[in-house]
Amino acid sequence: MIVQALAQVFSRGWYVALAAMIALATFVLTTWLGNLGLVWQIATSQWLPIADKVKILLALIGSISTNFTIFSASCAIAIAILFGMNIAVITYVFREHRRLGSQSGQIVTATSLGGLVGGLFGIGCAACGTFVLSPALAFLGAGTLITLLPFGGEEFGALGVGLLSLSLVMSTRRIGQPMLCQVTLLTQPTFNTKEY
Amino acid sequence: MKIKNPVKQLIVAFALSLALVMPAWADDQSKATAHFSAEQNTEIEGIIHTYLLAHPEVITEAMQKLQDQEKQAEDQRLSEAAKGVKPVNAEDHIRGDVNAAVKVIEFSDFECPFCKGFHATMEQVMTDYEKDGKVAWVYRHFPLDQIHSKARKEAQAAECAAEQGGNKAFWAYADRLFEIAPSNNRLDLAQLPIVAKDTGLDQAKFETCLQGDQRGGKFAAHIEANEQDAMASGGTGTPYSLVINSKGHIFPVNGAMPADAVKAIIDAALKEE
Repeated sequence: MIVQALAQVFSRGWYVALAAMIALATFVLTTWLGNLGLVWQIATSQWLPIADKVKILLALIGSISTNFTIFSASCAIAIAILFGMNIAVITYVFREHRRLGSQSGQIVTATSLGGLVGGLFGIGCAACGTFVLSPALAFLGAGTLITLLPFGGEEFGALGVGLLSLSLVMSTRRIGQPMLCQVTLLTQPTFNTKEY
Repeated sequence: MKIKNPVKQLIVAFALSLALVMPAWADDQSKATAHFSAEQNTEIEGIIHTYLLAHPEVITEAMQKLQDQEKQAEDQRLSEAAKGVKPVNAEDHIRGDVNAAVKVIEFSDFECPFCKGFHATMEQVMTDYEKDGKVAWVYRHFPLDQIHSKARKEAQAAECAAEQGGNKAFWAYADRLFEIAPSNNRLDLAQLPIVAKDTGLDQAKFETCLQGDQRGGKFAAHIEANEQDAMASGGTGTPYSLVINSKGHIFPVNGAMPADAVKAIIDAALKEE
Protein backbone atom coordinates (compact mmCIF):
# COMPACT_ATOMS: atom_id res chain seq x y z
CA MET A 1 0.00 0.00 0.00
CA ILE A 2 2.82 2.39 0.89
CA VAL A 3 4.65 1.65 -2.36
CA GLN A 4 1.45 2.23 -4.34
CA ALA A 5 0.84 5.53 -2.54
CA LEU A 6 4.38 6.67 -3.19
CA ALA A 7 4.05 5.71 -6.84
CA GLN A 8 0.84 7.72 -6.99
CA VAL A 9 2.62 10.84 -5.69
CA PHE A 10 5.88 10.49 -7.56
CA SER A 11 4.33 9.62 -10.90
CA ARG A 12 3.88 13.38 -11.20
CA GLY A 13 7.03 15.22 -12.19
CA TRP A 14 6.23 18.26 -10.04
CA TYR A 15 6.40 16.22 -6.82
CA VAL A 16 9.63 14.50 -7.90
CA ALA A 17 11.16 17.93 -8.54
CA LEU A 18 9.90 19.24 -5.18
CA ALA A 19 11.29 16.23 -3.30
CA ALA A 20 14.63 16.47 -5.13
CA MET A 21 14.94 20.20 -4.45
CA ILE A 22 14.12 19.87 -0.76
CA ALA A 23 16.45 16.87 -0.41
CA LEU A 24 19.30 18.75 -2.08
CA ALA A 25 18.74 21.85 0.05
CA THR A 26 18.62 19.75 3.22
CA PHE A 27 21.80 17.92 2.25
CA VAL A 28 23.68 21.15 1.49
CA LEU A 29 22.46 22.70 4.72
CA THR A 30 23.59 19.61 6.64
CA THR A 31 27.13 19.93 5.30
CA TRP A 32 27.13 23.64 6.12
CA LEU A 33 25.50 23.31 9.52
CA GLY A 34 28.75 23.23 11.51
CA ASN A 35 30.04 26.27 9.64
CA LEU A 36 27.01 28.52 9.34
CA GLY A 37 29.07 31.45 10.66
CA LEU A 38 31.64 30.97 7.94
CA VAL A 39 28.96 30.45 5.28
CA TRP A 40 27.27 33.71 6.32
CA GLN A 41 30.61 35.52 6.38
CA ILE A 42 31.49 34.33 2.89
CA ALA A 43 28.02 34.98 1.48
CA THR A 44 27.80 38.53 2.83
CA SER A 45 31.43 39.49 2.20
CA GLN A 46 31.77 42.80 0.37
CA TRP A 47 35.19 42.26 -1.15
CA LEU A 48 35.01 38.62 -2.24
CA PRO A 49 34.07 38.08 -5.92
CA ILE A 50 30.96 35.97 -6.51
CA ALA A 51 33.01 33.28 -8.27
CA ASP A 52 35.15 32.86 -5.13
CA LYS A 53 32.08 32.78 -2.91
CA VAL A 54 30.54 30.01 -5.01
CA LYS A 55 33.84 28.11 -5.05
CA ILE A 56 34.15 28.16 -1.25
CA LEU A 57 30.50 27.33 -0.59
CA LEU A 58 30.59 24.40 -3.02
CA ALA A 59 33.89 23.17 -1.59
CA LEU A 60 32.35 23.12 1.90
CA ILE A 61 29.82 20.53 0.69
CA GLY A 62 32.78 18.17 0.28
CA SER A 63 32.94 18.01 4.09
CA ILE A 64 30.45 15.14 3.89
CA SER A 65 33.47 12.92 3.17
CA THR A 66 35.80 14.41 5.80
CA ASN A 67 33.65 15.79 8.59
CA PHE A 68 31.28 12.84 9.01
CA THR A 69 31.73 9.20 9.88
CA ILE A 70 30.39 6.68 7.35
CA PHE A 71 27.41 6.12 9.63
CA SER A 72 26.62 9.81 10.17
CA ALA A 73 27.11 10.57 6.45
CA SER A 74 24.70 7.75 5.57
CA CYS A 75 22.18 9.12 8.08
CA ALA A 76 22.60 12.65 6.72
CA ILE A 77 21.93 11.47 3.15
CA ALA A 78 18.98 9.31 4.24
CA ILE A 79 17.51 12.19 6.28
CA ALA A 80 17.83 14.58 3.33
CA ILE A 81 16.08 12.14 0.95
CA LEU A 82 13.35 11.24 3.47
CA PHE A 83 12.80 14.89 4.32
CA GLY A 84 12.35 15.74 0.63
CA MET A 85 9.94 12.82 0.15
CA ASN A 86 7.98 13.75 3.26
CA ILE A 87 7.50 17.34 2.14
CA ALA A 88 6.34 16.18 -1.31
CA VAL A 89 3.90 13.62 0.15
CA ILE A 90 2.53 16.05 2.75
CA THR A 91 2.05 18.66 0.03
CA TYR A 92 0.22 16.07 -2.10
CA VAL A 93 -2.05 14.98 0.77
CA PHE A 94 -2.77 18.55 1.79
CA ARG A 95 -3.60 19.64 -1.76
CA GLU A 96 -5.75 16.60 -2.49
CA HIS A 97 -7.75 16.96 0.71
CA ARG A 98 -8.14 20.70 0.27
CA ARG A 99 -9.36 20.11 -3.28
CA LEU A 100 -12.05 17.80 -1.91
CA GLY A 101 -12.81 20.03 1.06
CA SER A 102 -11.72 17.50 3.67
CA GLN A 103 -10.30 18.51 7.08
CA SER A 104 -8.40 15.28 7.65
CA GLY A 105 -5.58 16.47 5.39
CA GLN A 106 -4.75 19.16 7.90
CA ILE A 107 -4.64 16.63 10.72
CA VAL A 108 -2.28 14.37 8.78
CA THR A 109 -0.13 17.35 7.84
CA ALA A 110 0.15 18.45 11.47
CA THR A 111 1.05 14.93 12.62
CA SER A 112 3.62 14.46 9.87
CA LEU A 113 5.17 17.84 10.56
CA GLY A 114 5.81 16.64 14.10
CA GLY A 115 7.72 13.70 12.62
CA LEU A 116 9.62 16.02 10.31
CA VAL A 117 10.76 18.30 13.10
CA GLY A 118 11.79 15.30 15.19
CA GLY A 119 13.64 13.83 12.22
CA LEU A 120 15.70 16.97 11.80
CA PHE A 121 17.28 16.40 15.21
CA GLY A 122 19.28 13.67 13.52
CA ILE A 123 21.14 16.18 11.38
CA GLY A 124 24.55 17.28 12.55
CA CYS A 125 28.22 17.09 11.83
CA ALA A 126 30.14 14.52 13.77
CA ALA A 127 33.36 16.48 14.38
CA CYS A 128 34.78 15.61 17.81
CA GLY A 129 33.05 17.26 20.74
CA THR A 130 30.45 19.08 18.65
CA PHE A 131 27.71 17.57 20.75
CA VAL A 132 29.61 17.63 24.02
CA LEU A 133 30.72 21.24 23.83
CA SER A 134 27.71 22.69 22.09
CA PRO A 135 26.65 25.68 24.24
CA ALA A 136 22.96 24.91 23.73
CA LEU A 137 23.35 21.32 24.90
CA ALA A 138 25.65 22.32 27.74
CA PHE A 139 23.02 24.82 28.87
CA LEU A 140 20.42 22.08 28.91
CA GLY A 141 22.80 19.79 30.76
CA ALA A 142 22.67 17.31 27.89
CA GLY A 143 26.38 17.56 27.03
CA THR A 144 27.46 15.08 29.69
CA LEU A 145 24.50 12.83 28.95
CA ILE A 146 25.63 12.47 25.35
CA THR A 147 29.08 11.25 26.42
CA LEU A 148 27.30 8.33 28.08
CA LEU A 149 25.72 7.21 24.82
CA PRO A 150 27.58 4.29 23.24
CA PHE A 151 28.00 6.09 19.89
CA GLY A 152 28.58 9.56 21.30
CA GLY A 153 25.42 11.11 19.88
CA GLU A 154 25.39 9.43 16.48
CA GLU A 155 22.27 7.65 17.72
CA PHE A 156 20.38 10.83 16.90
CA GLY A 157 21.03 10.22 13.20
CA ALA A 158 19.35 6.81 13.36
CA LEU A 159 16.52 8.31 15.41
CA GLY A 160 16.05 10.99 12.77
CA VAL A 161 15.86 8.41 10.00
CA GLY A 162 13.34 6.43 12.07
CA LEU A 163 11.09 9.42 12.77
CA LEU A 164 11.11 10.56 9.16
CA SER A 165 10.31 7.03 7.95
CA LEU A 166 7.42 6.88 10.41
CA SER A 167 6.18 10.26 9.27
CA LEU A 168 6.32 9.10 5.64
CA VAL A 169 4.38 5.92 6.43
CA MET A 170 1.71 7.91 8.26
CA SER A 171 1.30 10.32 5.36
CA THR A 172 1.15 7.61 2.71
CA ARG A 173 -1.47 5.68 4.69
CA ARG A 174 -3.76 8.65 4.28
CA ILE A 175 -3.26 8.53 0.51
CA GLY A 176 -4.28 4.88 0.42
CA GLN A 177 -7.51 5.50 2.33
CA PRO A 178 -10.63 6.29 0.28
CA MET A 179 -11.89 9.81 0.84
CA LEU A 180 -15.39 9.08 2.19
CA CYS A 181 -17.69 10.85 4.57
CA GLN A 182 -17.91 8.40 7.45
CA VAL A 183 -21.22 7.60 9.08
CA THR A 184 -21.27 8.42 12.77
CA LEU A 185 -23.94 6.76 14.90
CA LEU A 186 -24.80 8.96 17.84
CA THR A 187 -27.37 6.71 19.65
CA GLN A 188 -28.39 3.10 19.30
CA PRO A 189 -32.10 2.76 18.30
CA THR A 190 -34.21 0.80 20.84
CA PHE A 191 -37.35 -1.21 20.13
CA ASN A 192 -40.01 -2.37 22.58
CA THR A 193 -41.63 -5.49 21.15
CA LYS A 194 -44.25 -5.78 23.90
CA GLU A 195 -46.30 -2.96 22.41
CA TYR A 196 -46.81 -4.84 19.17
CA MET B 1 35.74 69.15 -1.06
CA LYS B 2 35.52 72.94 -1.60
CA ILE B 3 32.16 74.42 -2.59
CA LYS B 4 32.35 78.03 -3.75
CA ASN B 5 29.03 78.49 -5.51
CA PRO B 6 26.49 79.90 -2.94
CA VAL B 7 23.54 78.15 -4.62
CA LYS B 8 25.44 74.90 -4.47
CA GLN B 9 26.25 75.59 -0.81
CA LEU B 10 22.56 76.07 -0.09
CA ILE B 11 21.61 72.85 -1.82
CA VAL B 12 24.34 70.86 -0.07
CA ALA B 13 23.30 72.35 3.29
CA PHE B 14 19.70 71.49 2.55
CA ALA B 15 20.60 67.94 1.51
CA LEU B 16 22.60 67.48 4.71
CA SER B 17 19.75 68.84 6.83
CA LEU B 18 17.39 66.54 5.03
CA ALA B 19 19.64 63.56 5.75
CA LEU B 20 19.75 64.51 9.42
CA VAL B 21 16.01 64.82 9.80
CA MET B 22 15.33 61.73 7.66
CA PRO B 23 14.85 59.24 10.56
CA ALA B 24 12.32 61.49 12.24
CA TRP B 25 10.75 62.08 8.90
CA ALA B 26 10.39 58.36 8.37
CA ASP B 27 8.68 58.03 11.76
CA ASP B 28 6.15 60.68 11.12
CA GLN B 29 6.19 62.01 7.63
CA SER B 30 3.24 64.31 8.13
CA LYS B 31 5.11 66.21 10.88
CA ALA B 32 8.20 66.82 8.72
CA THR B 33 6.32 67.87 5.63
CA ALA B 34 4.08 70.16 7.63
CA HIS B 35 6.88 72.77 7.50
CA PHE B 36 6.60 73.04 3.74
CA SER B 37 3.68 73.76 1.55
CA ALA B 38 2.94 71.55 -1.44
CA GLU B 39 4.42 74.20 -3.73
CA GLN B 40 7.60 74.40 -1.64
CA ASN B 41 7.96 70.61 -1.68
CA THR B 42 7.64 70.58 -5.46
CA GLU B 43 10.17 73.41 -5.70
CA ILE B 44 12.67 71.62 -3.43
CA GLU B 45 12.28 68.40 -5.39
CA GLY B 46 12.82 70.35 -8.57
CA ILE B 47 16.05 71.94 -7.23
CA ILE B 48 17.41 68.52 -6.16
CA HIS B 49 16.39 66.96 -9.46
CA THR B 50 18.08 69.72 -11.46
CA TYR B 51 21.20 69.57 -9.31
CA LEU B 52 21.50 65.79 -9.64
CA LEU B 53 21.09 66.01 -13.40
CA ALA B 54 23.76 68.70 -13.57
CA HIS B 55 26.13 66.82 -11.24
CA PRO B 56 25.41 63.08 -11.62
CA GLU B 57 28.92 62.33 -10.30
CA VAL B 58 27.54 63.12 -6.81
CA ILE B 59 25.59 59.85 -6.94
CA THR B 60 28.76 57.88 -7.74
CA GLU B 61 30.55 59.71 -4.91
CA ALA B 62 27.73 58.86 -2.51
CA MET B 63 27.71 55.23 -3.64
CA GLN B 64 31.48 55.04 -3.17
CA LYS B 65 31.17 56.58 0.27
CA LEU B 66 28.46 54.06 1.20
CA GLN B 67 30.61 51.15 -0.02
CA ASP B 68 33.59 52.46 1.99
CA GLN B 69 31.44 52.69 5.09
CA GLU B 70 30.12 49.14 4.59
CA LYS B 71 33.65 47.85 4.05
CA GLN B 72 34.82 49.65 7.19
CA ALA B 73 31.93 48.12 9.17
CA GLU B 74 32.80 44.66 7.85
CA ASP B 75 36.49 45.15 8.68
CA GLN B 76 35.51 46.10 12.21
CA ARG B 77 33.14 43.14 12.56
CA LEU B 78 35.78 40.66 11.37
CA SER B 79 38.48 42.18 13.54
CA GLU B 80 36.15 41.97 16.54
CA ALA B 81 35.79 38.25 15.90
CA ALA B 82 39.58 37.89 15.76
CA LYS B 83 39.98 39.53 19.15
CA GLY B 84 39.02 36.32 20.92
CA VAL B 85 42.09 34.44 19.71
CA LYS B 86 45.55 34.95 21.16
CA PRO B 87 48.00 36.29 18.55
CA VAL B 88 50.67 33.93 17.28
CA ASN B 89 53.54 34.07 19.76
CA ALA B 90 56.85 32.47 20.71
CA GLU B 91 55.10 29.65 22.59
CA ASP B 92 53.36 28.50 19.41
CA HIS B 93 54.40 25.64 17.18
CA ILE B 94 54.58 26.97 13.65
CA ARG B 95 55.08 25.18 10.36
CA GLY B 96 56.02 27.56 7.56
CA ASP B 97 57.14 31.17 7.53
CA VAL B 98 56.23 32.95 10.78
CA ASN B 99 55.74 36.14 8.73
CA ALA B 100 53.39 34.49 6.25
CA ALA B 101 50.47 36.60 5.05
CA VAL B 102 47.94 33.97 6.11
CA LYS B 103 48.09 31.91 9.28
CA VAL B 104 45.99 28.85 9.95
CA ILE B 105 45.65 28.38 13.71
CA GLU B 106 44.43 24.86 14.35
CA PHE B 107 43.07 23.67 17.70
CA SER B 108 43.47 19.94 17.78
CA ASP B 109 43.20 16.76 19.85
CA PHE B 110 45.53 13.82 19.19
CA GLU B 111 42.76 11.29 19.89
CA CYS B 112 40.19 12.84 17.57
CA PRO B 113 39.76 10.88 14.31
CA PHE B 114 38.72 14.03 12.45
CA CYS B 115 41.89 15.81 13.64
CA LYS B 116 43.90 12.88 12.31
CA GLY B 117 42.25 13.29 8.90
CA PHE B 118 42.59 17.07 8.98
CA HIS B 119 46.28 16.82 9.90
CA ALA B 120 46.87 14.95 6.63
CA THR B 121 44.78 17.56 4.80
CA MET B 122 46.86 20.40 6.25
CA GLU B 123 50.08 18.61 5.31
CA GLN B 124 48.78 18.52 1.74
CA VAL B 125 47.78 22.19 1.88
CA MET B 126 51.18 23.20 3.25
CA THR B 127 52.95 21.33 0.45
CA ASP B 128 51.23 23.74 -1.96
CA TYR B 129 51.57 26.99 0.00
CA GLU B 130 54.62 26.64 2.26
CA LYS B 131 57.21 27.04 -0.51
CA ASP B 132 55.99 30.54 -1.36
CA GLY B 133 55.98 31.53 2.29
CA LYS B 134 52.35 32.58 1.99
CA VAL B 135 50.86 30.35 4.66
CA ALA B 136 51.91 29.31 8.15
CA TRP B 137 50.25 26.53 10.15
CA VAL B 138 50.02 27.01 13.91
CA TYR B 139 49.18 24.06 16.17
CA ARG B 140 47.39 24.61 19.48
CA HIS B 141 46.10 21.96 21.88
CA PHE B 142 42.41 21.38 22.54
CA PRO B 143 42.20 18.00 24.32
CA LEU B 144 38.57 16.96 24.84
CA ASP B 145 38.89 15.16 28.17
CA GLN B 146 35.21 14.20 28.29
CA ILE B 147 35.55 11.90 25.29
CA HIS B 148 39.35 11.48 24.90
CA SER B 149 40.95 10.88 28.29
CA LYS B 150 44.39 10.19 26.77
CA ALA B 151 44.56 13.32 24.63
CA ARG B 152 45.98 15.60 27.32
CA LYS B 153 48.86 13.23 28.06
CA GLU B 154 49.60 13.09 24.34
CA ALA B 155 49.58 16.90 24.17
CA GLN B 156 52.11 16.84 27.00
CA ALA B 157 54.21 14.32 25.04
CA ALA B 158 54.27 16.63 22.00
CA GLU B 159 55.35 19.50 24.26
CA CYS B 160 58.13 17.28 25.67
CA ALA B 161 59.30 16.68 22.10
CA ALA B 162 59.33 20.44 21.50
CA GLU B 163 61.28 21.06 24.71
CA GLN B 164 63.95 18.64 23.59
CA GLY B 165 64.16 19.37 19.88
CA GLY B 166 62.34 22.65 19.27
CA ASN B 167 59.70 23.43 16.69
CA LYS B 168 60.97 20.88 14.19
CA ALA B 169 60.84 18.07 16.76
CA PHE B 170 57.30 19.08 17.77
CA TRP B 171 56.03 18.72 14.21
CA ALA B 172 57.93 15.50 13.60
CA TYR B 173 56.43 14.08 16.80
CA ALA B 174 52.90 15.31 16.02
CA ASP B 175 53.07 13.92 12.46
CA ARG B 176 54.20 10.52 13.71
CA LEU B 177 51.72 10.43 16.59
CA PHE B 178 48.79 11.18 14.29
CA GLU B 179 50.11 8.54 11.90
CA ILE B 180 50.20 5.72 14.43
CA ALA B 181 47.35 6.68 16.79
CA PRO B 182 44.18 4.72 16.00
CA SER B 183 42.10 7.55 17.61
CA ASN B 184 39.30 7.45 20.19
CA ASN B 185 41.53 6.47 23.13
CA ARG B 186 42.87 3.32 21.50
CA LEU B 187 46.55 4.25 21.65
CA ASP B 188 48.62 2.52 24.32
CA LEU B 189 50.34 5.39 26.13
CA ALA B 190 53.47 3.22 26.40
CA GLN B 191 53.92 4.06 22.72
CA LEU B 192 54.63 7.73 23.45
CA PRO B 193 58.35 7.29 24.35
CA ILE B 194 58.72 4.92 21.38
CA VAL B 195 57.43 7.63 19.07
CA ALA B 196 60.00 9.96 20.63
CA LYS B 197 62.76 7.48 19.86
CA ASP B 198 61.44 7.01 16.30
CA THR B 199 61.63 10.75 15.71
CA GLY B 200 65.24 10.94 16.88
CA LEU B 201 64.73 12.18 20.43
CA ASP B 202 66.47 11.02 23.60
CA GLN B 203 63.99 8.47 24.99
CA ALA B 204 65.20 8.57 28.61
CA LYS B 205 65.09 12.36 28.72
CA PHE B 206 61.67 12.24 27.10
CA GLU B 207 60.34 9.80 29.71
CA THR B 208 61.51 12.07 32.50
CA CYS B 209 59.71 14.99 30.88
CA LEU B 210 56.56 12.94 30.47
CA GLN B 211 56.26 12.31 34.20
CA GLY B 212 53.65 14.19 36.16
CA ASP B 213 49.92 14.24 36.59
CA GLN B 214 47.29 13.67 33.94
CA ARG B 215 46.70 17.43 33.65
CA GLY B 216 49.76 17.77 31.41
CA GLY B 217 52.60 17.69 33.95
CA LYS B 218 54.86 20.70 33.63
CA PHE B 219 53.00 21.83 30.51
CA ALA B 220 49.61 21.84 32.21
CA ALA B 221 49.35 25.64 32.19
CA HIS B 222 50.35 25.90 28.52
CA ILE B 223 47.84 23.25 27.41
CA GLU B 224 45.16 24.83 29.57
CA ALA B 225 45.90 28.24 28.01
CA ASN B 226 45.54 26.77 24.51
CA GLU B 227 42.25 25.20 25.54
CA GLN B 228 40.91 28.47 26.94
CA ASP B 229 42.01 30.22 23.76
CA ALA B 230 40.07 27.71 21.64
CA MET B 231 36.89 28.30 23.60
CA ALA B 232 37.35 32.07 23.73
CA SER B 233 37.64 32.17 19.96
CA GLY B 234 34.48 30.12 19.40
CA GLY B 235 35.72 26.52 19.34
CA THR B 236 33.13 23.92 20.32
CA GLY B 237 34.82 20.83 18.93
CA THR B 238 37.91 19.61 17.14
CA PRO B 239 39.49 20.26 14.76
CA TYR B 240 38.72 23.97 14.96
CA SER B 241 40.75 26.28 12.76
CA LEU B 242 41.03 30.00 12.25
CA VAL B 243 42.34 31.26 8.93
CA ILE B 244 43.65 34.76 9.60
CA ASN B 245 45.18 37.19 7.13
CA SER B 246 47.48 40.10 7.94
CA LYS B 247 44.54 42.51 7.92
CA GLY B 248 43.16 40.64 10.89
CA HIS B 249 40.27 39.08 9.01
CA ILE B 250 39.38 35.73 10.40
CA PHE B 251 37.59 32.77 8.84
CA PRO B 252 36.52 30.22 11.47
CA VAL B 253 36.44 26.66 10.17
CA ASN B 254 34.72 23.96 12.20
CA GLY B 255 35.66 20.37 11.70
CA ALA B 256 37.75 18.55 9.14
CA MET B 257 37.22 20.35 5.86
CA PRO B 258 38.48 18.84 2.61
CA ALA B 259 41.69 20.26 1.11
CA ASP B 260 39.77 22.05 -1.66
CA ALA B 261 37.71 23.99 0.87
CA VAL B 262 40.75 24.92 2.98
CA LYS B 263 42.63 26.07 -0.13
CA ALA B 264 39.64 28.11 -1.35
CA ILE B 265 39.40 29.87 2.03
CA ILE B 266 43.16 30.52 2.09
CA ASP B 267 43.00 31.91 -1.47
CA ALA B 268 40.18 34.23 -0.41
CA ALA B 269 42.19 35.39 2.61
CA LEU B 270 45.25 35.95 0.39
CA LYS B 271 43.23 37.87 -2.18
CA GLU B 272 42.60 40.64 0.30
CA GLU B 273 46.29 41.18 0.92
